[in-house]
Parts: sequence; C-alpha cells; structure tokens
Amino acid sequence: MNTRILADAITNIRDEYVLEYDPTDAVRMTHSKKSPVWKNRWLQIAACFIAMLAIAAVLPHMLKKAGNEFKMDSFASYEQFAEAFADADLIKNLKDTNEYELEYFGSYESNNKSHRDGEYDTYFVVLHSKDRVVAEITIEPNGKEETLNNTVENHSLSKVVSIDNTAVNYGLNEDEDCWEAVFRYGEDNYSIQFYHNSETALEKLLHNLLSIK
Amino acid sequence: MGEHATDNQIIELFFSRNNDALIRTDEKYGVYCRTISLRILNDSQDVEECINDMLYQAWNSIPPTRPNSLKAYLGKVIRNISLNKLKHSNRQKRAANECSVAFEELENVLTAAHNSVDEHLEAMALSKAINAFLDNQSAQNRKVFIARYWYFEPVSSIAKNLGISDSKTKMILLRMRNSLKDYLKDEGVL
Repeated sequence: MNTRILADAITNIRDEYVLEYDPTDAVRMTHSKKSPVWKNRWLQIAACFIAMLAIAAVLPHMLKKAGNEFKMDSFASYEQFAEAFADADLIKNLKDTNEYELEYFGSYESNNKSHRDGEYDTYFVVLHSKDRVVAEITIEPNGKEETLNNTVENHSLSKVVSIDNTAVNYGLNEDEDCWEAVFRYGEDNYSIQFYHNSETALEKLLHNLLSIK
Repeated sequence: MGEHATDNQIIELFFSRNNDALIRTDEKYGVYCRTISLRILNDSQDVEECINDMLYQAWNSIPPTRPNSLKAYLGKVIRNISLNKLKHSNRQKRAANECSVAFEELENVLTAAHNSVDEHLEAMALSKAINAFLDNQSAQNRKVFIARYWYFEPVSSIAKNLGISDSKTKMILLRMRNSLKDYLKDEGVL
C-alpha cells in the first residue's frame, strides 16, 4: 500500500480517539520527576557497601545450589521455554480438552523480519480457545530490570513467592483482569498472565514451570 | 484571558481576525504540536517551520472552518504538514526514525491487492474501516494503537505512559495489526 494513502487514512482517525492519548503527558511526567533518593552520593556508597556484604553472604549458597537447580539459561531458548510451558501439568490438562491451543510467536520492535531470521526481542507463548486468551507468557531476553519493576508497581503485584531461589512477584492485575506474575531469570524478564481460574491456579502453574529440572 | 484561553475564545479570535489567536494557539497547543512534528521530523528547525506553516494554515482556514476540537484539528494539520516535509526533504534515507519504523510495521500488514485510481477515495475508505475497527477495541488497545501509529511514539515510551510493560505493548500492537488485517480483508478494503 502507498505510504501516502496509509498516512492520510491514519491522520483521519476520529478526533475522539486521537484525543484519548496525549504524548505530552509522558513528557510532562518525565520532566516533573524529582531527583530520586538514590541519586544521593552517600546513599549510593552505603547501598554499594550493603550490596557487597549481601553478595558475600549469598554467593557461596548460590554456587553450591547452581549444579542441581533448574537452569535459568535454558529459558533463553524460545522453543525450550514454550515446551516447558506446554508440558506444565495445568496447561497440559487444558490443552488435552482440545478446546485450547498453544501459539508461539516472537516480535521485533519493528515487525519486519521473519520468524527464523534470528533472535526476537520478545517471545510470546499464548494458550487460547477460539474466543479468548487463557494464559500468556512473555519473555524479554536481556530485558530491563526497570521494566519489570514498573510492572510490579503499576499493577500492585505485591505478593512474593520464592521458587527455586527465584523471587516471583504476583497479584491481581485489575487493568487486564487477570492474575499476573513477573520474575527475572539472569538477565531475562518473564511475565505470566493467567486469565483462567484463580490465584491458586497461577501459583500451581508457577511451581510447575519453575520446578522443572 | 487566563493562562490558557479556552478553545472557543481562541476560535473567536480567529473569527475576528485578531493576531492574538496565533499567540494563544501556540501557548496552549505549541508543546503538543511540536511533540507530534518532532516525532516525524526529528529536527527542531524543521519543526519550527512546520509550526509556522500550521499557524498560517489555521489562520487561512478558520473561518470558515469551526473545529469541534481545536486540539485534534491542529494535531491533524501539523501531522500532515510534517509528513509532507518528511517526504520532500527525503529525510527517510538519512534516518530510520520512529515514523518510518511505524509505517513499516503497518505496511507489512496492509499490503494492498489492488491499486485504486483515486488515492483520496482509497484513503477515505481505509480510514472509515480503521475507525470501525477501533470502535470495537478496548480503550487501552486504542490508546496503544493511536500512540504508535498516529503519534509515532516509541514502544518504550507508550509502555511508560500507559503503565504497562514493553512486552505487553508489543503484544497489543502485534495482535491489533493481525486483527486489523483480517478485518480489512473481511470488509473488502484489502
């Protein structure tokens, strides 16, 4: 399609929809932010000192356990993660009813490369029936920790469980009307949104996924 | 007149051919229009030229036009002027900005099976179909779509502004592009 036609068509989107979003809100938010507390030099030094103490205390345990724990790295592979998700008992049971199917896909910032061209910057695994999404997992390899923290704050995912040494924040995401869990493995961000059943079902799924050896 | 004049007050100034109309417009909507233009052109000098052209066009078209929403009206004018400038300055070859990346995403979806003789009519039909498609979307999905394809916001900025994750934003965009493609096929626009 001619870019000009496309540009004109988008320009003429209804006024009320154009006005629903205002890009200057973000600009104002950014500019009005106060300098965060952690920018204070003395606090930075204190935080570094505490962090070093914490690492010194925890590292030996982490190294000892690393040999027989679930390998976080294996989730960096899109296919392996999809398989782990599909094999989780709860998903398997749903899938076996034949009402649901799993879909895997990836996305680039600009959607102009085919599936096999290389690494995506985001991977999605979606379990859906004909008319609705039941569960959805998103992986961001080398994702920003800040992104994950924003999700936790914005959706009040205040409950924390520790599964195989992984801290998982979860809770009800009221905007999306789903149970959501987010966690970080190595340098990758993981997000699970569960639209089926309840908190208990999400917890079960998490245990299923993260306990896979 | 207060810090910011109301739209009606500004429009009345245009109607009475009072130069203050231009000053008040720039005071109230200057940041908004510059943000739109900057996303497209990525050059502040070009943006200022576009702002002047926009004010000139508003001066010439109001009256007789009386926009329902001055903000949306000016937004559309600055968007058009900026896209025209982008086209003529051939800037696409020099920098892959958000605007060209966003169009690239949509063009992959909206591959036309035919070429209409009248581009204007084709754009109108497409616009009508996109509006109908957006009618059936949730408010959040619509915002994400508009932010990306109308305002050319980067994904990370949309996510931050709407309080959702980058990956969620990408997921919404991907799903909407796919649904839009299906919808346009069903409607016979593609």
